[in-house]
Amino acid sequence: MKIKKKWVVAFLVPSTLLFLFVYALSLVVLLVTSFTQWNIGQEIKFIGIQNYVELFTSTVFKAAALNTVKWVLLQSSVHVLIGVMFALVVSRRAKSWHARFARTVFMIPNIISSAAWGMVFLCILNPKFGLLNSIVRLLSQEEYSQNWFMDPKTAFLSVTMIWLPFAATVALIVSAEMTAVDSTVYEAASIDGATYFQTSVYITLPLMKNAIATGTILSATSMLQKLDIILMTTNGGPGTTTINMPLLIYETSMRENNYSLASAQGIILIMMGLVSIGIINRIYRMNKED
Amino acid sequence: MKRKVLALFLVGAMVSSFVVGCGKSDGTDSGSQSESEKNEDIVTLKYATYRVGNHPSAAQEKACLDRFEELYGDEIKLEIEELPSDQAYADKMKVLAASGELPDVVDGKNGIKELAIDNGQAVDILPMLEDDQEWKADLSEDAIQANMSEDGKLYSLVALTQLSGYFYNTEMFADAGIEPAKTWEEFMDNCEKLDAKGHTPLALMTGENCWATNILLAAMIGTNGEAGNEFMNTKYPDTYQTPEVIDALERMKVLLEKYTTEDAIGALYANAANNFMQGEAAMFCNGLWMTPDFENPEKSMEGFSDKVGIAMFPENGLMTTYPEGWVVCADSPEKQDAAMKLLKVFTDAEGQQAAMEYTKDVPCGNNVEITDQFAAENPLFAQMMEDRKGTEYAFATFDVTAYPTVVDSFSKYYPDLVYGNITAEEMAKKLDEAAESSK
Amino acid sequence: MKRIRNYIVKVPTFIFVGVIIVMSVVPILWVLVSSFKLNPEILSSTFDFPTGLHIQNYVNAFRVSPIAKYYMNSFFVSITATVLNLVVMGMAGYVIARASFKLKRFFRAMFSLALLVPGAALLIPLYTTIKAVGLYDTRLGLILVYAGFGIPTTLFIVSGYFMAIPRELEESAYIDGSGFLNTFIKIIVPLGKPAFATAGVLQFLTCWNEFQFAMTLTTGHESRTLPVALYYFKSAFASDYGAMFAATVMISLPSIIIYILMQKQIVTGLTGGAVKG
Repeated sequence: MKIKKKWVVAFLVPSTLLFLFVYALSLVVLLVTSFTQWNIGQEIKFIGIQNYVELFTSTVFKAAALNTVKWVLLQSSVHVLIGVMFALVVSRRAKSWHARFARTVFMIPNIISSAAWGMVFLCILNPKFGLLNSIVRLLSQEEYSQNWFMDPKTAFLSVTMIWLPFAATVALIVSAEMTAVDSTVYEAASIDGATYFQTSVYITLPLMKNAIATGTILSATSMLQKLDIILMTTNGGPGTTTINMPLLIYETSMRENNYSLASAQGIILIMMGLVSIGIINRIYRMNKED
Repeated sequence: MKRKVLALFLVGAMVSSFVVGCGKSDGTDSGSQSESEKNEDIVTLKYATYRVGNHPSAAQEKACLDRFEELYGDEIKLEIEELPSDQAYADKMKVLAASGELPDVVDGKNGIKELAIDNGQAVDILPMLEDDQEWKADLSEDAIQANMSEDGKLYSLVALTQLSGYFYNTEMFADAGIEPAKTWEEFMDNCEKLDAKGHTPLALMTGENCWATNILLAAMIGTNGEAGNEFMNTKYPDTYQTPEVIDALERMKVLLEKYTTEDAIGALYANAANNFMQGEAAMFCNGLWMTPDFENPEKSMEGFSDKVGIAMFPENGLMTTYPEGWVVCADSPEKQDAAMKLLKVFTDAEGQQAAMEYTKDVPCGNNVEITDQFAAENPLFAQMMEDRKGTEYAFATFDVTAYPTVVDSFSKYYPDLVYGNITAEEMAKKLDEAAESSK
Repeated sequence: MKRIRNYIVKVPTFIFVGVIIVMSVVPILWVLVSSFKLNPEILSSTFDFPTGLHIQNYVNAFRVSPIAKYYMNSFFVSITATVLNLVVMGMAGYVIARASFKLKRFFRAMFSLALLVPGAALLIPLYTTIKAVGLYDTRLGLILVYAGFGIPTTLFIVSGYFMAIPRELEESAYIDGSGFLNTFIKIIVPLGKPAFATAGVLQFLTCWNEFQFAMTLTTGHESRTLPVALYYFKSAFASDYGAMFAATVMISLPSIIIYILMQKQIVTGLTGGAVKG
């Protein structure tokens, strides 16, 4: 069966218009100004690739890019794994009350606004009265004080833990895709005597490929947008331990007012994202209709 | 055929939903336009403010705006944009500044004033101020000078003097047998004595803009001889790698390591203030506007206001600065005139009075009377007014003298300094780098 | 033997889910308990229960911020933007999943770009665009922008889902002489319900929680949304965290209810065996 061209066009026009409305100007501005010098109240001056040269010699930029890559890798592996496992486990008795409860509770961290979520973690990880230190003190019966967010040794891990375990979005996407799978497949498998574990690993998972790929792409690219929670908790510090590309771009444009340099950083961020998506697509062989 | 009709219908429905939406907004726009055409003499003035919600100055601002409405309500229509939280305010102002569309009156803090000057919107208000000598007399010459540009133009106006020494817990001081220190050696000695008695000496914080910590740092630099004092009164200093800054950073490192609460590194203002107000630290550097909190049972421990003393910094140092204040960005003469009326309401003697009564801001001029009753009700305020006469070193804070990027760098590198990843010299160098990126 | 094997799988599963749930529950409880606490209690106690039930935080939330007004705006903006996004991207997602045409890869890549443009880089251009078309300070402006933000997520979820479901159902419809549009509305859309519900939940959450653009693209109470209200309690020198958490609870509740409702849509398909070849 072939869908007629006019329908393809008609169905793509609204989304394309919406996309252009929201993103076209930004993309053009980003690309063009990244080759200029642009400050408020001054003429825009074309300076070639000077912004990019400046970036690649900057240590802060290197730190931000490296941290971003680390977070993308962690998010597209550990985070996705947690989400997929959760979806598999919970789907077993999808309609029972405890499955529903678990799914809802797991989702709430993604629902609460980041302004409140950041504050919660500042309090839980507070070295003086925070819950985590109190538990350690209780268990070890010793004086214990760890400044989780500010000790350069633990800062990166602490920030990561604000989002890494909360993979309800991935679980949701995978759960939805499970509904697309013909349930006779499971029935056949269970008749053959396969355990739930075996069915999950050998039958369900391969069928979930598209959903897992989608979840991976969304998780990975979410790391290219993470800003407010870092701004609230560590502000990129100590030093450059937890700075990432979005925070660097925010600082360059909003604090230094250096819009053109921020544009060059933005272009590099987009490149990083395209490469990540490309790799993920290749791994999962997405876009291939079998 | 049927399909085509359906497709057309679908597209039509979408387009019309867009148009209806636009139509709505056009409708209200044209409505307000025709209204203003009816009363041609009504001027619309746009004003953006962050003094809303929980902001300490919210009540004062409301009082001033009410007064404005009463005085000029029938000739000026004030359109207020509320931008809750200081950061949200700065972010939005920067977007508007980049588009040359700042509201007619804005607060110039966080570098907004400089942007308004750069994008050509800021108006030199000196000539208009000169036309109203009565108003000008309400303002101190110092406050006007502080905001004067090098080319003799006045782009912003403020009516308050920011003063800060430090508050201290008199019970803890008595327990340790100490008095507010006269020298920095004595100050460190006091910390040691407090510590020996089991009191945490200082409530410090290095999150946000390092407010309380940087006041203390500024005090150490600003009272360190003539060079240090000049440094702390210089806007955008050439370098932070001076002996005074490095000395102060080294001393601050000791304070952060030994003489403050466990959570000081990375703490927010709220954490540090709470530590002080709950009697968990003996000293806290902040301005007088904090004093109402000491009597607030939702913020301070019971009877706390009776235990608070106020002192100048060692060497008779006092943080004395004038923030940027309000900037006029209106383009037409009518709007500029209206904007000046708004500024007058905020900054004339009556405006200063409101700031003093509601926010405990120190008025910059001499035309506001501090009544005996007010002094009796606000003993800390009264004492500070008395103490400030003996000021030997007056200095500004980093929030006024440094680029926002430098202030930001403080919060990033204090932890590194304390955890021994960098030295005071290296930190000063980092501050220079941050300043460089803003030039 | 089988029982032991069963335990080997069950115990780690139980631990895994248990840890995940505890990690989620603790912060959630923390928010809930704190919404009844005073500022000093929040800033100095670990996990104590409040000294009294300070309902006043909830009262303060209404008194200090325009939260009541913003509820209506948030509902209107979030629901409209979600519907718009689902309609537009449902159409695109279907043809991208099913049709074969030359520029398919291009369109996928183009829409993916929306995931990657940094928010800070969008602020000024979007402000300019919205201002230019006269949608500044309107709810419609926010709706269009939010619908745009959800382009890639919805596209991936919907097209991924359509790729996974068997083609037989639509094909038999076509053979029966059903037209393209008719098939899409009558067969494809109901079939894709779990995907639409999933994408809808995520899109709704995006709209419901977005702060930066809500602030930048509006000026007055008429078009602002709930996350802005949250910031009325966050002043640098006078944050009222109790009221902020109270507001957080109130702001989160509608999202949680919507999630629970939508979840039913996602799960019903699961055992219903919606698609049988």
